[in-house]
Amino acid sequence: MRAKVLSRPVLLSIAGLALTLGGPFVYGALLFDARMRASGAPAWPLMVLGLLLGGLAVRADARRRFKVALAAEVLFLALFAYGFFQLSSLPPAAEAARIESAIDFTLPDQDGKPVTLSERWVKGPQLLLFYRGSW
Amino acid sequence: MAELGELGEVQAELEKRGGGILAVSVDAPQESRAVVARKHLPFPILSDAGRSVIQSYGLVHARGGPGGSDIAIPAKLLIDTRGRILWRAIAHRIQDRPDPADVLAVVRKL
Repeated sequence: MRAKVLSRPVLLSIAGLALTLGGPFVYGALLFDARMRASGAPAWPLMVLGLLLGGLAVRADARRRFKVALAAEVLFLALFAYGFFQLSSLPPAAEAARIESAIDFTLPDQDGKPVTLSERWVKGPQLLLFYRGSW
Repeated sequence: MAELGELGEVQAELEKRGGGILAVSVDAPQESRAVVARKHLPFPILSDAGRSVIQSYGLVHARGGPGGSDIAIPAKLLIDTRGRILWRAIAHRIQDRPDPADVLAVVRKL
């Protein structure tokens, strides 16, 4: 079987799709890094580059298949941006942003033993860390 | 939850000053016990199953959790020995996670 040489628009189109679809996966793999996670840094340039390559493919060959690939890339980038900025937005925490003193409480720890915040802070500085849970 | 494992150094610096980290989630104690064991956490996880604490701090993400339950908005508050809040970081988006280095720098100056 002879290998078929792929034309330039086909290569551009495939590379464009790969980069645009791959961007979020690279992002997913780098979630452990706080700054990467917050900014989405690796995903955006990859996806935009993919879009550019898809655009170049359409410019080189205006057939429908290349336009469909480009449209898929635009849609994918839009979906990622929607998820990143919109679906992930949290309600404003006005009270936590404004209060100057901690509000005391007593809660059970993982062994059911009650812990009172003010009894801890008199001994030394406390970092109170609210998180979304283990689910 | 990945952020819990990265705080060993912060905990060590706080311990030097007689303090420590207190994590809070709405999970039941037994769920948190598994997390503390699995991640070998050097600090406790407190259970705000009744949501009263996240309510009082204004940190309720209504229907943000599994099955539409209310959970906490991710936040870090550094409290001094008089109960004053010295530093805080509150997430605006789910993916916001302050770098542990930021809070470490503040703790080292205490």
